[in-house]
Formats: sequence, structure tokens, C-alpha cells
Amino acid sequence: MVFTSTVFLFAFLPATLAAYYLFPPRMRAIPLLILSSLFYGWGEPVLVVLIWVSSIVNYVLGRMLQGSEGPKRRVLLTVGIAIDLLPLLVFKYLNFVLVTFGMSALAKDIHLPLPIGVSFYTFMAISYLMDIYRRRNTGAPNLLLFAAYLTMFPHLVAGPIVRWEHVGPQLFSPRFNAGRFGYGAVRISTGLVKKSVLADSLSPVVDTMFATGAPTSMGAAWLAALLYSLQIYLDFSAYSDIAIGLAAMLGVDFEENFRYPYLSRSAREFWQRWHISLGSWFRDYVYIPLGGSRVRPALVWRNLLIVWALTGLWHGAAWTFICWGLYFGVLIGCERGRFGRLIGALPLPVQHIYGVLVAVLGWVIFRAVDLGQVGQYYKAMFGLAGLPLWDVHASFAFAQTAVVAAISVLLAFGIARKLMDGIERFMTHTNPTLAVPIEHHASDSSLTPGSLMEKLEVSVEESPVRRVTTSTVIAIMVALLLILGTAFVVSVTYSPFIYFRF
Amino acid sequence: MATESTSTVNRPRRDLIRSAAGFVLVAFITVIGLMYANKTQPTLSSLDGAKLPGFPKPTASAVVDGEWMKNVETWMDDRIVGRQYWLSLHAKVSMSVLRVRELNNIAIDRPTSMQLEKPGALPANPKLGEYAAQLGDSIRAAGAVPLFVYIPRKEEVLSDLLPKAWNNTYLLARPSVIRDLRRGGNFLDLTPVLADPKTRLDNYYLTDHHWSPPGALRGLAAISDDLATLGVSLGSSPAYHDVQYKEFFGSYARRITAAGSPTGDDFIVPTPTTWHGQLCGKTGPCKSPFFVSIANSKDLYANRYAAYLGGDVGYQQLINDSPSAKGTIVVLKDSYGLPLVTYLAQKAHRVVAIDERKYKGEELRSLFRKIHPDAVVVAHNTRTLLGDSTFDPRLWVDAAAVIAAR
Repeated sequence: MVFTSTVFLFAFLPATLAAYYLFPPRMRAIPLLILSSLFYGWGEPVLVVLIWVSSIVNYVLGRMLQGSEGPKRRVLLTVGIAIDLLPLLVFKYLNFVLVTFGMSALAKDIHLPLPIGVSFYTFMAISYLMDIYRRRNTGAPNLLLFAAYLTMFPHLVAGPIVRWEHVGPQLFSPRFNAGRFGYGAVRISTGLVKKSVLADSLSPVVDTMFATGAPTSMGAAWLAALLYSLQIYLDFSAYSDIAIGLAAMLGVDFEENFRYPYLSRSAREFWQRWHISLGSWFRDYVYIPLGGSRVRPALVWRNLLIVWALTGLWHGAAWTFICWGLYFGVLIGCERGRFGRLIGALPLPVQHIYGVLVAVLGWVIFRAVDLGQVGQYYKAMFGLAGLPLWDVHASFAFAQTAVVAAISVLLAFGIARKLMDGIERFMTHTNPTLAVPIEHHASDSSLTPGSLMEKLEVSVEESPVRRVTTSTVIAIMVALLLILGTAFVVSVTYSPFIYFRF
Repeated sequence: MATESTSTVNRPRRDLIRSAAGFVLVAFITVIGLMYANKTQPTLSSLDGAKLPGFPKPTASAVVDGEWMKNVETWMDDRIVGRQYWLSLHAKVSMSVLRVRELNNIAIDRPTSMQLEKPGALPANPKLGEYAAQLGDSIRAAGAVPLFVYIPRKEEVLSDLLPKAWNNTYLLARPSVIRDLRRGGNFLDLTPVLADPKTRLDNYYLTDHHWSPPGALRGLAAISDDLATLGVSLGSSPAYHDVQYKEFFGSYARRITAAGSPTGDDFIVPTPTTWHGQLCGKTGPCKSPFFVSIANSKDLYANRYAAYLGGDVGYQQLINDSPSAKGTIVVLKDSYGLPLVTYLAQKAHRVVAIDERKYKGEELRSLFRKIHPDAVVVAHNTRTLLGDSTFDPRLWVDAAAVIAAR
């Protein structure tokens, strides 16, 4: 089921909120599991079984890990990771492996559907087992809670890749939190508009430009790359907005997945702001176990290239994705040395331009059909293809998207950041700038989920008039955004999020 | 201390105020969701009048393969309360606020307000010329004069208004279509008439893909002149006065919705004092070829163009018993032929109109022999000839096979 569809917005969501809050807090995992299965089964009626099996297997393995000692733990972890990776390997990578090793004829006969969200829930399952193995947490107390955590519909198909230690305890007894309930509505409505109004308005133009194969002019190549950079940010961050908003309305806190990535000043910073949950997953479960940065330089390079090749591969079974990952691996590796110091010494605006350029050039590799098209685009962008500077295709794309792109640029560069932070602070009594330490607090076993939220609360005293006025203005803003988003949802028949395919 | 205790006491109410946005969202989605239960929902599309599918019945196989879910989503998209309002808001915001130049493959030229469609693929039909030649032979064999007429689409005549990035497949397909039609015999290209710089914007509707009545009348005048040079005389045209009906939002405007259109078309119909050329069936009295009820439909999106002859029909006959009417003409036509035939019938004694896309009658060659027409006019546009799956030019030579294959 797609968040920006009539069936989700006007049937599933109201029914889910009603059913969820009809149950007492300690039993809310029951409706959550049932409704999340319905949510997933709506798009994958057969493959929903896969995620149920994954829930059972990982829960059982987690219990076994918890109760075992010595080398057996390592064996259990290895078996668990192998089982978790199996569906990913079969459904997502089998064809790619066969083609890569010259068995294209065989690959043509294999038509396996890619289970939606398999890359996301597989990584959540692996992190669950590894955290128990590392004794960072004690795992789920029962299968119901674990299954509700793994299948929880807000994050199920496109993340964020949440961790048990953060979300799991919140599911024990999720309570209605009026401020977060309102804040969730703000995130849902803004996400709806970002996706359906902005990202989906850019989508047809970008698709047309990349579908024509080679770019027709230097301007067209740059426009295609820039517009896609905006589209993918708006699309994916909108999904995260809606996911975080839905969780908040259910009384559960998700960590932020985006922090204005186009404000970055380096490739490294970009990945601290883009798809944060994926970057931190690879850092915690691949990079650090490989030795991270605390090894000799050659091994740091090895670790970086492994992690970033895998990051690319996670996005899709194609050489373009692997190259995209390696592109960032090499850049981040270079930024660790003299090159990074050189960039750091540049004036701030130049550093920002570098940060945006890194991302935009990277998206060309990501979006291109194949490496040949990547080459064509880079040649065109840097004037090496003998193409005109500008042509009618560029003019039309520009005319078609100018206003949408201008609004998108302002949003991507944080024009509404203060407003959104202020709304969050007002509604949840928390300070968004303190959000980062949540995981540190969460790992403190003396804290209950309730006390964790209280610890982050900010004492804000406003006059009653200001409170009512602000709440009313926010409610009106949500209503207007919902009306606008609905108009675009109804008018566009089917428009899945880009990250659905991963 | 006092402040702290006040704050604690007021906390629940204060929090409820903060949740107002959440309850707005819940109210919004719940009210719209509950409206689906309204049993008085329309059963026809407000945009094109097509019948809306009912709520799909779940079957095991449809649920397992996901078909049922897709159908439910379609049902919900079609039946959402105020669908017209949502579509109009989308169009208005896209066109006026986001300044999108093209919406749903329709571009609106500024400042003319002319709506133009992105030309789609028009694959050549290698048999078109051969069938045209055989049709010409059949017409001549029946003692009639063949006249093949090429009617340009507005995207051809107004190609300079099209976004230049759009690949204009009409212009690409045009030479081969003209070459093929020429193989039928006498040929008339209406492009010079309709592309006259003084009248070209007047010859087509702004919001619809068809030519307007002035365009059709100019086309008819050119056809009449050509037939006269071929020895086929028609009667004189009656005097027409303009009758204005409700505002017309044509097929293009329906696609982007009225709110996205800067203006609709004035549906002005040149009307004679009496429609002498009447639509006559096999039984019953003859009737006016112009359906005022359709032209006056209360539906904002009514296809008023179908007021001519009641829309596309496979076979129609019009008889004009006025002494000034002359000649028997068979017209093989598409929807462009609706006003053409209506006005032709006001000056010809008998007109038989055949829309090949819906025709279910006998072979054309035997029909020509029965009717003994003075001329057979084959008038089409490129979209019909190359881009319409319901049109098969083989019908010109083997109707039985085409009808059986439908």
C-alpha cells in the first residue's frame, strides 16, 4: 500500500487509528501487527508470509542467542545472518549474479518479484540479532512485540531502518501523546505535499529526460541531474516524514532520517544527513566490525570501499549502484586526508557548492540506465560531448519545472527549517537539536520509554492566548496541506515512492 | 512555585490544544472515508461520461494475485467525494501556481489559450496506400467520383504553438499519409484552407481536438469547389445564423479539467432557419441532424460536439427534399465528419455517412452499387488513419473480415 493513495489515506489510516486506540496500551501490538500485515499484504499478498517467517526465525534465534554462551553464539549469529540474507540474495541479487557470471540465458528464465521493503526489514532483523550478540540489548520479550516491531507499517517498506533498542521498548505500552499526535499530523501533511505536489511534478520531466538516452545539450544534462537530485530528496524524505508522522500519531518516536543533506559541505557530511538510518547501520554493523578507522591507512581504504560498495549494492543489483557507492567511498576516503583539509580551508559558500556538486554528480550514476549513459551525461555536463550549451529540450524542461524546482530548492536548503523545528518544539515540548542523543539515552537501561521522552522535554511556558493561536494556525496549515495533497493524490493514478524498489 | 503548579494543572488541556492538528487530520480522512459509504454516488464519470466500475467482488484468485486490491484502489480513486473539485484544484494549482506548461500531455499556448496535445506515436500502415487504391477502384466501378480529403489536426496547422521539445509526429507522418491517400484518385489537402493565418485559430476549438463549425464550413466549401471541378454539383448553402449554447469544455479541457483551462469555448453553432437535411432511419420520421438537447446539456463537461448527428455512428443517412439540394454523396469519415456531414446535407439531396470505426454493414463496393452516389468523399485525419486502434483501412476492401475481427 502506498502512503499517498486514497485507499491508505481514507480507509486504512482512519481504521488503523481507531482500532489502535481502542485497545489498551499494553495490547496495542496486536492491532499493530494485524494492520501492518494487511498493509504489506495489500501490495504483496503472498510475500507477506516471508516477513512473518522472518519475524518468527529472528525472534527464536534472538532467544537462543540470549540463552547461549561461548562459540555457539557466533554460530547462531552467522546462521541468523545467513537466513536473513537468503531472501535478499535470491529475490534481489540472483539475476545480477547470473548475468555477471555469464549465465544470461538462465537469468532470462528466472522472474522473481522483488518483495517490497525486503532490504529494509532484512537489515532491521540483522541489527536485532547483532545487538543481542553484542549484548547491547536483551531482545524482545515475546514474539508478538518483535513481529509488531519488524512489520510496523510506518517503516515497513521504505524505512527508516529503525533499531529494536530504540523502537522496541516504546511498543511495550505506547500511549496517546497529544503533542506528538498533533506533530505527527504536521509531518504527514508536509510529507504528502512534498511527495504528491513537488516530487511527482518533477518526476515526468526527469523520466522523459533520462529516457531519451544521451542528453541533447549541456543545459539539458545539468537540468536532468539537478531536477533528479531534487526529486529523489523530496520523494524519499517525504516518505520518511510520513513514516515519522504516522509513528508519532501511534505514540512511537522514530529518529530523523534526513537533515537537509544539500546543506552538506562534503561527501562525508552528506551521508551524515542523507538516509541517516542506512549510513549508521553500515557504520555500526559493517565498518566498525571491519576495524573502522582505527587500523592502518591501507585497511581504512579497504574498509571504506567494502562498506560503500555494499551501500551501493543495497540500493540495487546493478553496476551503476555499485559504482555510485564506490564513488562516495573514494570521495570520503580522500576527504579524510589532505584533500579534505584543502576543502575545509575553502570559503564556506565554496564548500557548500562542493557538497552539492558531489551529491548531484553522484545522482547521475544512481539514476542512469547503465554506465554508458553515465559517461554520456558526464561528457555533456562538462562540455566534452560537442553538444550545444542549451536546446529546446532544456527550455521545455526548465519552463515546465521552474516554479516547482524553485520551491523545492528553498525547501531542500532549509528555508522552512526554523519553522518546522519551532513547530516540533511547540508541539512535543522537545528540542529537535537534542534529538541526536536519543540513542545514547535509549541505551541507558535505567530509563523507561516514558522517562526517556520526559528527559528530552523542554520546559516551555507560553501564554494561553499564544498557545491557542499557534495551535490553531498549525491546525489550519495541516488542513490546507491535506486539501492540497489530496487534490494531487486523486489526480495522479499511481506513483510509488522511488525507494520502494530498494 | 505558583507558575509551576498552574502549569501542572493546565497540562492536559494544554496538550489537547496542541493535538488540534492531529484531530484535524483524523476528521479530514474519516469524513472523506465515510463518504464512500454514500449509496447515492454517481455511476458515470463526470469527465467523459464513461460508466464507472462497481465495487470489485473479492475472489480468492483476485486477492492472491493482487488484482482485487488494484480494482479497489481504482474504485476509490473514481468514487472519492468531490472528485471533480479535487481534479479542478489540482489543475488550477498546477497551471496557475506551479506554472506547469503541460498537464496530462496537454499544453496551453499563451496568450491564445489554444490547447494542444502532445503527439503520440503514429506508426505507418504499409497497406494504407494499397487499400486506398482499391477503394478508389470500387468507387469508380460504381460510377462515382472518388475524392480523398486530408483533414489536418490542429497540432499540424498550429505546429508553431507546440512546445518545440515535443516531437511532432503528425508532421513526420503527414507526407506518407498524403502519398497513400493520393493512390485512391482525386485528392484534396485541406491544410492550406485551415492554416490560413487569418482564420487558423478560429478553425479549431480551443479546448477540443476537433475543428470548429467555421473550420468545418471552410473545409466543406473547399470540398464542394473540388467536387464541382470533378463534375459533381451540389446545391447552394442555406443562410446560417449563429446560435450560442452553453460553454464547451472539449476533450483536452476535460483531461486537464475546466479549472486548468483559462477559458472554455463558446459553443456557437451556425444554424439554418430549417434543417432541411434531416437524419432519416429505416423507419420512423426523419429528425434534425443537430441534437439541441446535447448542446444544451447541464453537465459542465458534456461533449457538446456530439450534438452534430448525435455523435459517432457507423451508418447514417440524411435526406434533403428541398428543391435547391442536389446530388448524392457518400462520406467515409471520422468524428471530424460530424459537422461536415451535417452541413453537407443542407446542400445535397442525399448523404450517406459511414464511420469505418463503427460500421457493421455490407461490403462498401456493393453499397456503392446500391446507392449510386455521385461522389464518395473519404475524409480523415492522421490520428484516425494511423493512431486509432478501432480504425482498420482494410474495411475499405474487406468489411466482413474487419467486422468479424472486432
